[in-house]
Amino acid sequence: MHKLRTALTAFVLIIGIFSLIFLFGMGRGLSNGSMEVFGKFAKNTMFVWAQRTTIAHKGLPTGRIASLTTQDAEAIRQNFPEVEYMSPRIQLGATQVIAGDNNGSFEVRGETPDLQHILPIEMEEGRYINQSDIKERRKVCVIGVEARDILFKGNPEEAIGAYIKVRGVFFQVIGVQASVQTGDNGRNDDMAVIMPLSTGQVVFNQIDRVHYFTIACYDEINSNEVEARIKRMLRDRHDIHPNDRMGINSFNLSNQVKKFTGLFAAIDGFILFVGLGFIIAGIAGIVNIMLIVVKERTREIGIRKSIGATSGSIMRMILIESIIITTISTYIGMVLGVATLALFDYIIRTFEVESIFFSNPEVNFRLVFIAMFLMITFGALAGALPAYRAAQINPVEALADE
Amino acid sequence: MISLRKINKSYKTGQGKLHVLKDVDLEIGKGELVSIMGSSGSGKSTLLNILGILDTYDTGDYYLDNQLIKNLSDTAAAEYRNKFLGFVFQSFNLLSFKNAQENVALPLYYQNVSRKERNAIALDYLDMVGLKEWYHHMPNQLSGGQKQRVAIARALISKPKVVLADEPTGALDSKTSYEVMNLFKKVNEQGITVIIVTHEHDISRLCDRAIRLKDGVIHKGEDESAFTS
Repeated sequence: MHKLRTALTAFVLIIGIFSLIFLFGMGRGLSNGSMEVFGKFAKNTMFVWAQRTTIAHKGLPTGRIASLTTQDAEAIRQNFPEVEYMSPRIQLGATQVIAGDNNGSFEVRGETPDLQHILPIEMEEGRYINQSDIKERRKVCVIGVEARDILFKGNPEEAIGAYIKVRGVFFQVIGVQASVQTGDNGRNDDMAVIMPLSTGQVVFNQIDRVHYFTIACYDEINSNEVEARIKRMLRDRHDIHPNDRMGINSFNLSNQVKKFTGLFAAIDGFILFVGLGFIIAGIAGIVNIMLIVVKERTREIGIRKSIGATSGSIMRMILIESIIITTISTYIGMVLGVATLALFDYIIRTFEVESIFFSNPEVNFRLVFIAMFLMITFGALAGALPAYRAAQINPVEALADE
Repeated sequence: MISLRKINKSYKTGQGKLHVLKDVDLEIGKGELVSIMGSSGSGKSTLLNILGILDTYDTGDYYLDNQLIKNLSDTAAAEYRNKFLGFVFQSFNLLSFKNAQENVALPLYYQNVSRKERNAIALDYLDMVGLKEWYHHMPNQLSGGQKQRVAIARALISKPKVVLADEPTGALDSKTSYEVMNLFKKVNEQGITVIIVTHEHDISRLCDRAIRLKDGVIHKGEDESAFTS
């Protein structure tokens, strides 16, 4: 009876620890997945673009789309020392690209060197576009890894230095880029063909055109304030009403990061709350069970005292028992929790169900050790009252009750 | 060995006080085999508990081996119990989840003797009470007489000066009772003072001396033969 009760109490504690570890791990997975999306971007990153105007201004009708230009980029660079990196980008659309016998349709973009510091991309081989490429309008390009695998099927190592044909113009491949993002965004970057902005503008007959700006402020800068001033300036330059939020629109990643950080802190807090609830229930259970144990063992304790056990040694006996129960339960709970997380991780990796917003569910080992330490402390605390009761047992009364 | 001077003990009850021991004076010498007799409620168990330092007394003095036993700390009391005294109970009071050998060895655990050593010593004592072959038996696999012999071995293992037995034959048939009493005699012959609380005259008769307790008072002058007849 006593064993069953102990086992059931231990079970509550096991479930408590298990759910705390498991939920924490899943929460971490969620936040890892999401933060991976943002984390690899430069902090304080914003995107600024033009959309149809909604307010008539200076005699101009609504529904107009301002054409952003290289000159706007220059103006931003000169007027905003807070900006660390700034890259105007032009998206030239899906275009037929030919490399020898292979061909495919790829998204072609014009970019500038700063972009590599902002976007979460890495060079698989070769180099990214540099300032000289821009200045001299070189006919060079960087291609995504997937684009390389299609265009240089069978011999991807020959990509660097080879020529590919875009709109009848030959471009030399100078680099292969790979996104560190997962999901659609990552795939877009891996399937892209990127040329120097200036070259793209000429080849696609879009002189001076820019589709949007990708801007990263220095870390300590309040990017919201800079964002507002950049938009004000662009509205002014393009005769858009100062209050026309659509005319020049933007997206600030740092706000998003902040929102998510807050969200995950809240999730972690909630998990902690629920998990602690379980643990407290488990501990209360152990206090209870130990009190019953002491009651049931009153006679035994009386016998022990009659043959020379001190109150201290009786106390130690009960405390150690309590600590053993909590420690074993905690250990089992942790092993189950970590094992389940590992299984999840394995499934995610094996079946590639990893979505943008979920990756690498994990629990850090420091947390596990802290929890272990806490549980032993809790075990001692849970045992304290029963142990005290046991020490107070009067041997005369204990031996008298038959 | 044991000297009680004007020991008084009372218990609080619902309304007032129950005066259990009244000015008890008692001298028991080293190596005596003494019985304490009395009907239930006479205070003999209380007297034994005080002698065994399981209970305290209100007034008077109790000397055990010339040491005043008064206002002892919990630890000191436990140490006296462990080193000076051995207990034998009517209901044996063996730990049901430990085998005979472990039960006998238990007092040495509280003297921090290593497991190996105390189990070896326990085996010697089991041999002395004739139960060496039974060392691995659990209490519920032993007969009443065997249990009591295990309990006596446990009482002796710490080499006590005094063995206190509370109705040690109360749960045994007469044949087994005599066997147990013979064992007490053997123990007594080694120079250990043995005090047996009993209400059985034929058990009392086997002792050197009987102390009669009635309503918390020791009755002197009454001839020993008065109880033994």
